[in-house]
Amino acid sequence: MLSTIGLRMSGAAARSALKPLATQQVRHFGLISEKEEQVNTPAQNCAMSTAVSKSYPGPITQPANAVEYALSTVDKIINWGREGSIWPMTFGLACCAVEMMHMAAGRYDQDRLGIVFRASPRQSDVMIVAGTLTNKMAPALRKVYDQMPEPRWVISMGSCANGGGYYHYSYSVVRGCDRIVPVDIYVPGCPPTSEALLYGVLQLQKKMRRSRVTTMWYRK
Amino acid sequence: MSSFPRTVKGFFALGPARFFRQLNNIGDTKVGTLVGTDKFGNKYYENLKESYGRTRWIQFAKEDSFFSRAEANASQVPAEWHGWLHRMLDAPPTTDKSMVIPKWAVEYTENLTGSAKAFKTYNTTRPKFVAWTPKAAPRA
Repeated sequence: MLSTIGLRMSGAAARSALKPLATQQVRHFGLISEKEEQVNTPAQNCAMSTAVSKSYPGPITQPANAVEYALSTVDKIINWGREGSIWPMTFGLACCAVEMMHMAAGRYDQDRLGIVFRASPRQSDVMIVAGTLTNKMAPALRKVYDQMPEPRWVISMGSCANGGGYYHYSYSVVRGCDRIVPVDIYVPGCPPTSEALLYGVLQLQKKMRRSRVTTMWYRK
Repeated sequence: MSSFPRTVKGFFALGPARFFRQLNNIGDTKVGTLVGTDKFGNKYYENLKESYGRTRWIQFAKEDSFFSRAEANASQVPAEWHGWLHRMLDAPPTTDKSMVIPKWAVEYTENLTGSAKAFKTYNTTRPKFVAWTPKAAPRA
């Protein structure tokens, strides 16, 4: 049951976490319309700065009452399970894939973190986009991403996947895989060392640890 | 490289608190001399009798404890101590001044990605593309 909650809520949690940031950015450029202005409640915005609003129960990291206190422990268990069994979908496209293989090999040994490469998108949590994403490959990448079950994460590995890299001005290369799929972690480098990729995975674990699945469900 | 005799020896050399702390964090008991402490409170140890490549190590200030999850991170090592840990320096940076940190260099911070202080480039241009909000016409 917990897992179903997790599946349902993680998208909503991500959306609500992203919303204030996005609005701030958009407002900065004066692109926001009046209607949207009203939808973005002032309570939410002022709570960001002062936390005096009554409707705003405080930051998600601090439980506001006993139920949330209990649920935050449940969240920790969920996060522990997620970060301890990352199964990446290998999307090796170019030379970055070699470094990705090294992460699995003896020296960096991803198995000790519970990371096991899974060649099937339907059983994997994370997609590591390793290498140049060409226009021809892009629909396949999106299809594979869509086949992955929620919750899912994407690691963009290397310059080419981050923003086109060396092939940025090519006619046949996507200028960053974040134009196709939402990316969680960008690993810089050309190619990044397997150490850097492993550090990126650790950063992803940190991100997973920040999620509050059941607390968000309760607050809604 | 842990074995039962080594673990028992480590217990008596380290004391119970550090013994369990090390087992919890690095899964080993390492005994060495304290070489120095950096500004973040990380402690650096050395024991030349350890096997090759494992003679210098760090005990992070923000380690796993019974109550809180670890926020230790390899980027918490400042540049000069990174040099010592990875054998770019023979002596610890407190005595070996061969690695010069210029005065105009910004203060070293850990990787703040994902926090409120995360680095963002200053930018006033219009975003080239914005997130897509699907708008589907209602079905008849």
